[in-house]
Amino acid sequence: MIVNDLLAYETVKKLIEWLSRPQAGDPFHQASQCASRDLFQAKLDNLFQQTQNSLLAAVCGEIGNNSFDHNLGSWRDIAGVSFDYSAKEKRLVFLADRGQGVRQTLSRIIPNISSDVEAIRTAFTKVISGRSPEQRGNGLKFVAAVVGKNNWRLYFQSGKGYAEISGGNLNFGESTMDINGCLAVLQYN
Amino acid sequence: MAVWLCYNTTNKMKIEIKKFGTMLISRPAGKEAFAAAKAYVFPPNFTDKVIILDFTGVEVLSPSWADEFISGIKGSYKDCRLEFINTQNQSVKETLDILSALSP
Repeated sequence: MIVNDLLAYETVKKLIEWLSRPQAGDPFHQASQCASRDLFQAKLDNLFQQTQNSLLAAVCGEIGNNSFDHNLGSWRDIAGVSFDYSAKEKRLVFLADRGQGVRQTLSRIIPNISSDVEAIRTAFTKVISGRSPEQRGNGLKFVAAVVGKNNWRLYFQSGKGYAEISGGNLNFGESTMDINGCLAVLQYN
Repeated sequence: MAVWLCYNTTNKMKIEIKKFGTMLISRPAGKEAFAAAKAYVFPPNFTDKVIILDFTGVEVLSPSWADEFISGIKGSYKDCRLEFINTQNQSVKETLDILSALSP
């Protein structure tokens, strides 16, 4: 794994523990929990106002809105996405949802998808155009392209599968931890 | 409403995207924007051949919003050609690049 240091942050460890619980109990952090798109959009607007980084807002917007696009009405327990960031110093963004996860979502279109890793690989690399002319499924390709081009770093996990981007390289692997929903940790410049 | 939102010269219509907002992120917002454009911007008997999308003033654009809006136009006005202008904003440029690259 090439982004081990991102997983070493205390917030990430706690998010993984929260996402791996069978029942969440409470939101990860009340102030970070965006139960609706409106709340998410407002918080995203704050991030943009602080950073004036349009690509960062677009990338976070894609990841966060994916949570709502694919999980409205089917959250496991806690609705919405946990969205937090440290804009001034570490330049980190954390997004986490307790939704159905990538494999479950894709299995509606690709029923024989074999593993969480395969689902993540598909989400990051293949266009799934079930609703032509819409190009649904382009969001994570956009995320990967922007993160790679700008030498940012990303860790994205769903189930046991993960994708990591660092130094422009995109890798996939299997974690020992099985999480519910999705986790994204982004480090930008 | 169409008068302030766009101008219409011979066979060309320009739409100022910033009139739909400056932070254009989600699919539902893109879908709603196209629905509004179809109802109030494009004339009922729209026959122009070129639609120009002007991104001046847009602060953040994501592929989800753009896909819903552009796919809506492509689906409803199949004979039109789309042109994009003032795409210097990084998120606008990257979004249009990825949509173009992934276009079937």
